[in-house]
Amino acid sequence: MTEYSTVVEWKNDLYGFLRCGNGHEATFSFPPEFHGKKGVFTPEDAFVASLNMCIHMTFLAVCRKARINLVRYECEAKGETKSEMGNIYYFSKVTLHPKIVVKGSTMETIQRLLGIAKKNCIVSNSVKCSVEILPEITLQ
Amino acid sequence: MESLEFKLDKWTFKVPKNLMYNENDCWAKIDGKLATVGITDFLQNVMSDIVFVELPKIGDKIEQFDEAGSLESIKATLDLISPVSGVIEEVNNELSNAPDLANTDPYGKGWFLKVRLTDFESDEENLIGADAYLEVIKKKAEKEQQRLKKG
Repeated sequence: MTEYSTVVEWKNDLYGFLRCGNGHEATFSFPPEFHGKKGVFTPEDAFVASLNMCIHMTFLAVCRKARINLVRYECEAKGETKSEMGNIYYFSKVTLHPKIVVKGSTMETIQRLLGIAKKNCIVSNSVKCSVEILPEITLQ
Repeated sequence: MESLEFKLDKWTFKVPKNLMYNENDCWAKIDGKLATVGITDFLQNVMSDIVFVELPKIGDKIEQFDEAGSLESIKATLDLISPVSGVIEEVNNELSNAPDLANTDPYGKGWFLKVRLTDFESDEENLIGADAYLEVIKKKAEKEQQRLKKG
């Protein structure tokens, strides 16, 4: 078993301060639509980003194993929220739109490796909302 | 292909009766002086999604238990340990483009090598049949479960 820890601390007003176990630190707030502050990290950003980062890193690891010549990877992830009774909010779906450029491979191979990345992504395996990957793959 | 089966949680490991095995989870199908070699269903399950396969060159001479290629998944990198000695006569080039064949059809389209046998009488003494191999994977699976419980 491996444990990961973060510490949050109230700064002032609606600002908190995050210290991550791996060393990263950030000021955060609610997003503006929940009366939070503009321009800082939010829990909602962190949720969508954790999926986006984890699938990205897992895909990199899979590509390295598969000897894939990856030229570029950029991915926008969008998290859709829903509410129950108008006040209990949750993420119902996160969709990733990776733009991938590779040399010397095939569409089928990259699609398969993305599937393997999703299957092995620790964050994707831990969330109850659906996670979909809609890639745009360019072969060189 | 008639097989023995070992079920553990959600997994079912198949062990065809007509093959010979080494304890390194590789099989050999003997057809006269030629052996087809691959990895077992147990190994492909342990490895999970195989993403890369490296195969020896045609004409290479190998001894029994020599490394005769390698395979990689996101979980592990392993050598293919040849169950037989001989000369590599053919390799499955399909695995280069579709290494997942070793996952989806380990005893069929996912074969690795064809070896022209040079000393099968000696090799055979170090190989086991399906019944004995089933016991080997039961022990390996139990050991793995204990390891996972300990965390």
